[in-house]
Amino acid sequence: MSWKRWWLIGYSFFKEETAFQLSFLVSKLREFINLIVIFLLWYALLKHNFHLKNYTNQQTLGYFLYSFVIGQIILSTRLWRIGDMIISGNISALFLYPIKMWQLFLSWDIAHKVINFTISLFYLLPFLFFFHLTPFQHFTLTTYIFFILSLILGSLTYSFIVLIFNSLAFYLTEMWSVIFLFNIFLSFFSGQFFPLDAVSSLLAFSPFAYVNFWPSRLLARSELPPHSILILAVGFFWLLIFFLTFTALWRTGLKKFSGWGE
Amino acid sequence: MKFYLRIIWTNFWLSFKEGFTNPLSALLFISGKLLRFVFFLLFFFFIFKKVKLIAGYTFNDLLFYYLVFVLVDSISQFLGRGAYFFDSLVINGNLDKTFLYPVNDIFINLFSYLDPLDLITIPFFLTYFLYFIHHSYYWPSLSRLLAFSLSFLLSIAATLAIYLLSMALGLTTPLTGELLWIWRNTSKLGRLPVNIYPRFISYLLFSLLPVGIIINGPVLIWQARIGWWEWFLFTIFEVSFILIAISSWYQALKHYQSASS
Repeated sequence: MSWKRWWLIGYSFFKEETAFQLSFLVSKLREFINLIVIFLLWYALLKHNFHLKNYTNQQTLGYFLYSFVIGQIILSTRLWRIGDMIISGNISALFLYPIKMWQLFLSWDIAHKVINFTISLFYLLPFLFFFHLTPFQHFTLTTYIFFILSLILGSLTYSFIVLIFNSLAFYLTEMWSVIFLFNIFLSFFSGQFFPLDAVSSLLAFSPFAYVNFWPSRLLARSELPPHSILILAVGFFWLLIFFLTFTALWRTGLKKFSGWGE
Repeated sequence: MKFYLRIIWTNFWLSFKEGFTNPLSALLFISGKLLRFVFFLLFFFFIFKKVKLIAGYTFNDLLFYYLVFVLVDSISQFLGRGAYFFDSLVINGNLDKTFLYPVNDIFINLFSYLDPLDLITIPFFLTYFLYFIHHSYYWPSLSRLLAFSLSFLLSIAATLAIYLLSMALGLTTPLTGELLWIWRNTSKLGRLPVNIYPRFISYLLFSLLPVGIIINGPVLIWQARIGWWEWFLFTIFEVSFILIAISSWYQALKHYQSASS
């Protein structure tokens, strides 16, 4: 696909997202409030003598801040729409577009991630300033490589989990409740409630940990975790499992699909 | 009154049939709600495994705050779920139709969808709440119990007033859904006593963003952390807030421009 096409799809996505400017701004304000709520909760707990194992107070505050920004990158995706498209039959129209469906979703997702990440930087800056937090402090080349790999791994793992859930739409008639339940699971097991290694090292090796915990931990503690190669290897193993599950579900689902299109 | 009760019952019955059209979805949604509740309880256990007190509050004190938050949130959502569909009513013009019904327009729009899925979770939360008080907490004096009950009902009414304010703003700009989410996110600060937050935020939550009054108010009177004079002020505040929301709705209606042709 030529660069011009990528750019046009990304640009049209941006125009679509910001078509209702006030709604867009209010939705971003809502996200900012979300960040404030979780940050204040931990700030209050730390102020009243609660401390997390393996984390200093600064690192704990940093963890939740970075976890929010990482979430803005990894969790920004349009792939959730596929389920409804399958149920309504509209997905058959996408098969006829003069562009491959997965390329279209990839370019939408990249645009989505770039927009959300850029905006989240504005949320982040006042916190960094007031609480003297310094991400990327003491980062070496290896730490940067691990960080970038964990981001890519997290994005791909999340995308394939989302795709697996959306493939269920070939067999279900509604998707909203599945999404609701999954998001509750994810918020707990991906480390958005607390750093997973402060509770159990076993949780840190679950596939959900790669969606948020590992990149956030790296930014908060500015040091490579022990057994970092093993962590990446387990992450790629999960990714492979999800990829194979998704392709199997998608292929059998497509054979069953009988949508009438738009 | 009988007429309105019949409407509530009819709305509820229709919502119930709609909500259970797909039993699997209903089951997953209810499981999700209960799981969210359990996860937050686990979070509490995790915190109190390490410390005995947070800002002078015991585990049971904080759990009581959380349970009251869950009940106020769930009951107001059960009653006011229709507000979440308000934007689409304004955009597609169907809102005009509701003004032609021989029923109060606030009533018909705010209580248009009584969420049956929430109604299933509420008895669970309520049973746990009563069990918790009976076995692990304490019953206050009768006067405080009555004040708590009134305060609790007013908290639900004030939350619905916020829904109504969002709908009033939604009459001119379709922002009701987003504003409701902003309130729901902000009200999460009331899962814990708001005075554990930094002092400035705490003041804010007792004034401009009245989470401290609406969500924490009933607990404060139960735990005798406020006197009767403060309770009276809280009550006046909540009643005034509800009246302001109703008045804002009628003011906003004057500026409403129908979308339908």
